[in-house]
Amino acid sequence: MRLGLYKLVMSVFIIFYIGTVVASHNRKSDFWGAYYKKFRWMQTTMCFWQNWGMFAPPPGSTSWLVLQGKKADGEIIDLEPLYAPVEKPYWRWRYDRRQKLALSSFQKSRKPLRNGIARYACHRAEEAGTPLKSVIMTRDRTWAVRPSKRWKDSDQKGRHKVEELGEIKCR
Amino acid sequence: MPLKDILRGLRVVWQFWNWFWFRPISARGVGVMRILLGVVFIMTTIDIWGDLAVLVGPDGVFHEGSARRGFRLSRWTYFDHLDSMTAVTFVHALALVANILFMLGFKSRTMGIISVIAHTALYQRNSWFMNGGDRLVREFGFYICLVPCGASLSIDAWLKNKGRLARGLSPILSPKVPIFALRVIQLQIAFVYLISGVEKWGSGSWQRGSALYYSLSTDNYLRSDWLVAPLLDGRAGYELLKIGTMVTLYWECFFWLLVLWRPTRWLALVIGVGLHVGIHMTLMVAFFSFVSMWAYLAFLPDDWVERIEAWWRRRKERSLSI
Repeated sequence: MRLGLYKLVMSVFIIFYIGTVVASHNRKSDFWGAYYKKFRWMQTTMCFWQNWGMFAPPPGSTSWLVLQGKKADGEIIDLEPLYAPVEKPYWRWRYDRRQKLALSSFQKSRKPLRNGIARYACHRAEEAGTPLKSVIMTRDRTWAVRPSKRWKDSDQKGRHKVEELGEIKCR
Repeated sequence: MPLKDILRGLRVVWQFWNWFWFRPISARGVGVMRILLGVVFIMTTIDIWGDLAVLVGPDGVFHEGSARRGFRLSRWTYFDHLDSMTAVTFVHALALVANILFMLGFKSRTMGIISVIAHTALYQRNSWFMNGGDRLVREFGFYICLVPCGASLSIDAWLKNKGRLARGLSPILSPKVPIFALRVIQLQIAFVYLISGVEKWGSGSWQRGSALYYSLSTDNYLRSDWLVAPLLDGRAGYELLKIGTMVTLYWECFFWLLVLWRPTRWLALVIGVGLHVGIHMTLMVAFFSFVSMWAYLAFLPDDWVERIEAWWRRRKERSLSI
């Protein structure tokens, strides 16, 4: 009896769970779009997302998040970054989650995250006795050199660009 | 069509469904998988410990207000209700205790679900420091709790047998569990590779064969610059990376097909282990490689632990007779 009930519950679960996975990849279709709206809680509640585009496309550049603080008198000071650029030669043992956070903040749509990082920088500066008016965030990006260029000169640097991500006021 | 034939057809479908999802298998393999996944949960919890204040703390980068604005869909997390670092650390320590108990197999399924909830609470508070590997840990943790994962190699099993002996019953030496969790894990990892392969298929650098070169050219993800320099600085290294790119692309796209047939299944798993060891050696991807290879255990014969034990016994007996 107990095994029968287990099989029934699990059968119903797996049918709807697989259905939600299929629907999450076919949201533009009328049927699957409506299905996903009804059953997306199966993914959202426990964050069981099913998008797996890992390294597609591959990164192709190295980016560092640079934080600067603007004081009330207009002076601009360098702030401690979330994750400092690595110096060559290096070997890293541990996956640094602060770096992942910094990399996540570069996407245009992730303004709440940039606001959060700025707020954190404001809070730290205030604790250190240097209250700030705002935090300026920039992305320091260097592209990888093409293979044929690297074969000729392994020390050749790729294209470099400093991109302003915005100035966020401290509250 | 007569009703009798329809019923017979339905019975055949149910028999296949029952065999595919609920066939009883030895619980020892699931027990080993629970222990190893418990280790990954423990490593994740410890790994995050040092950055707890920054990542999920009340004054961290993603405090409650920011977190709420950052997510469009439903979210919940107990971290929103903790307003001191002491409380955050205490709750995280409780999660570590649950991880350890899950690994040891004490109240296995309850501890497994608590571990998954604790992991999700971190994600719901601040998803941006986690990667695909973390998501796999969470999903696999949930799937393995859908069967009695503490039926073997656990404190639960030991206590159960102790109770049976006290009641004058014989202990359960070869417990069985439904194959359900292993099937979901098999489907999940095959789906991960398929979707990843399809996404890569549309990318120019994967088609041209330069994807691994560019992946290894970024200091953000690289484990060591000097380790991969021989691969990046010369044409021979590039040709090797080109082969690696193509193998990865085709293997990901056709993994699901290769694992259907036993001889090609071994090939798919061996290539997978090679690729994941390579990824882990050269790139910083947290526990992604560990947990992906963990999922391969679901593709092994149901009684793989017993076979290893028997092989070990035979080897020992042979060495004693010599």
